[in-house]
Amino acid sequence: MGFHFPGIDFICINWRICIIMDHWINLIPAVILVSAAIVVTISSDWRFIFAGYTAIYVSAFMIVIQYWSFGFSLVKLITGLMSLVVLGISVRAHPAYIPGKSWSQKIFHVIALLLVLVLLGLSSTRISNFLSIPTEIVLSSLAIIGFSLVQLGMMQDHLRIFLSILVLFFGFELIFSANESSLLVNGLLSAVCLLVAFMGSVVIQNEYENDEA
Amino acid sequence: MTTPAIFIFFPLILSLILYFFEKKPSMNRTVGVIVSILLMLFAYFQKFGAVWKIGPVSIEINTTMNVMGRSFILANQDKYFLVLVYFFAALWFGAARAAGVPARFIPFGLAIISVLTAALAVEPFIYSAILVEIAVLITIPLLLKPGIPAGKGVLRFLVFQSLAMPLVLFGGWLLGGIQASPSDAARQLQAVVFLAIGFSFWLAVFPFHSWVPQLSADIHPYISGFLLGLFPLVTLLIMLDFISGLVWLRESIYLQPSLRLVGSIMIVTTGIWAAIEKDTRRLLGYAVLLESGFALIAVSMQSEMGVLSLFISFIPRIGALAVMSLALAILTNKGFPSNLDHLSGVARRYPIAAFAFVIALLSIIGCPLLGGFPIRLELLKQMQTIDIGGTIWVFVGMMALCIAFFRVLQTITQPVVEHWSIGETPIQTIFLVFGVAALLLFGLLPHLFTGLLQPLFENLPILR
Repeated sequence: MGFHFPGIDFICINWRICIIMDHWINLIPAVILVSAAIVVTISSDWRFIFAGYTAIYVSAFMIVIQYWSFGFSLVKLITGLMSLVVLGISVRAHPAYIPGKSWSQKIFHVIALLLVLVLLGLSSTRISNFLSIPTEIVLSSLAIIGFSLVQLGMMQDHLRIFLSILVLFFGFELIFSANESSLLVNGLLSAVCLLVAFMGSVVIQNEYENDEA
Repeated sequence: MTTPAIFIFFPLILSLILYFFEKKPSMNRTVGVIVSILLMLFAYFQKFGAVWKIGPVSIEINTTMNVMGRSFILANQDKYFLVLVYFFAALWFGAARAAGVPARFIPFGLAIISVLTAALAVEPFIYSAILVEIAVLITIPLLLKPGIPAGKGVLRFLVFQSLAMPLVLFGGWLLGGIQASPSDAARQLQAVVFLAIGFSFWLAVFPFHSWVPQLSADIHPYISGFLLGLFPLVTLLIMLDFISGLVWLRESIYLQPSLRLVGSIMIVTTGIWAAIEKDTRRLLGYAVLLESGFALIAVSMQSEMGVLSLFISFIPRIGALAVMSLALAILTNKGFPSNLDHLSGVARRYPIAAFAFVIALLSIIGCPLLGGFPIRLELLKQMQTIDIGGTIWVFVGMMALCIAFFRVLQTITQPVVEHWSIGETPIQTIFLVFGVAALLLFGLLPHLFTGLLQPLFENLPILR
């Protein structure tokens, strides 16, 4: 596999990803994942943002459940959803928390996201071979990591930053847990995710502490 | 009884108990200081792995504690760290009232120290990454002021430290795979790259350093002094343990020049940025970065003297940071904005805080007769035998920081008010005078301190 400049090679690599995938049906959760990332990027409504993040967790779960045990995959999904719930409860009390975006901002963020996703998508086969992990898992993991890094780099509001850290860890866990099966490491990673969500909730609530007093 | 139970789990449990007594700040502070001093004395006098005799009772102090198949090990080579970190805790907790920080500082501070000690003690190494991340997350409530949104510095601190965890974990996992086939050079390089970037995030190494001055500008100076004093110190020791444990890495021809280059760049850039900086709180951040630069240079020496210089340098570093942050905390609590434009003539109203700040800054620069001087002199002496160009650049960085010192001195001594007065409370004065005296004493009689600490320098990390 190569990473050559001529456009035709890019297309070839994309097709190869589809061919190397164990099940072509996995394209569906992958597409849902990317669409959810775009929705999160352009939306300023907390309901859409949380729905997008839920879709990311669920679509990644749909992929990893084919390779990991049901219990292990479910632990990852439940940890992620619990983290979203912890943050969601805080935001629900203050719905005006997320600042809006202009159209030019939205277009810029989506283009940046797509560029990052394309670059990561092109390198997924090589990483998959290097780490001996199925392409589907690598692809979804890289998409989540790329999306979270774009969010961390471009967004300023606290909620998005905490959510991005959560999915960054989740994306990393998809690759890491495929090789490192230690229950203690994975348990601690889940604890870290819950702690991130809890601290995010503390940060959001703190801003309104005087108002409520 | 085991050392991890004494130095990790006991303070952690105590911090949880103290958290529920937030409304009794005096009790919180007293317990925090007494426990820190007792732990410091225990680490100094008790030989780990031996029997502890209290009258007719004998208790065996084991160095290893197993938790779910993993080990926490605090042996005799960790005694220096334990003495230092609990001395650090006693100092910060003791002056907490003078600095006017909330009572929750004590339980959170104890919890952070115990989790970071656990990060240093845990085997295998990859668990350190998770424990450091937990410590970072525990700091968040300390960084917030009620009703005020968390600043950019706080968020950057969280983001940069969080980015380190996956990188260190992944690098550690790759390294674990290499143990089976040590000749796989490509994997070695990949593991080192991941770990190097992870450690760079942790240590705020150039170019991942922007969060340090931002964080110090955003939060209470006393808390920023505590966090910026503690985190780089622990992560540096984790890095040192890691380098020391891998023969192929410490024998690599690239290690010394790369660490020296990064350290020199940090010192030069920090000095230049500090020279044009107008915010005194951000200067505290730059002081931390300069110290980290010198620490990297000390590691790059890969000699016994380099490691010894690094370990000894922690004492004036902590002393100077404590004095700087306490002085800034006093001025902040009196309502002075941290910008130099608003600090004209402050030396005439708060002379002890103002002069303590500039003396601590001078110590960090490495001015003769002050705590930082013997360390800087030794490092520059060693460095000039290896790389004279780099030494000149480091000296340029130090001189650039001198400009910052002169700007601060010129501003605070302006005759805005006619009469001199002492605005500090007696307790603040005692702590500041004690801090400045300690810096002077370390500068004048460095062998007194090194002689006292000599028994603790046992089995130092081997870098060559």
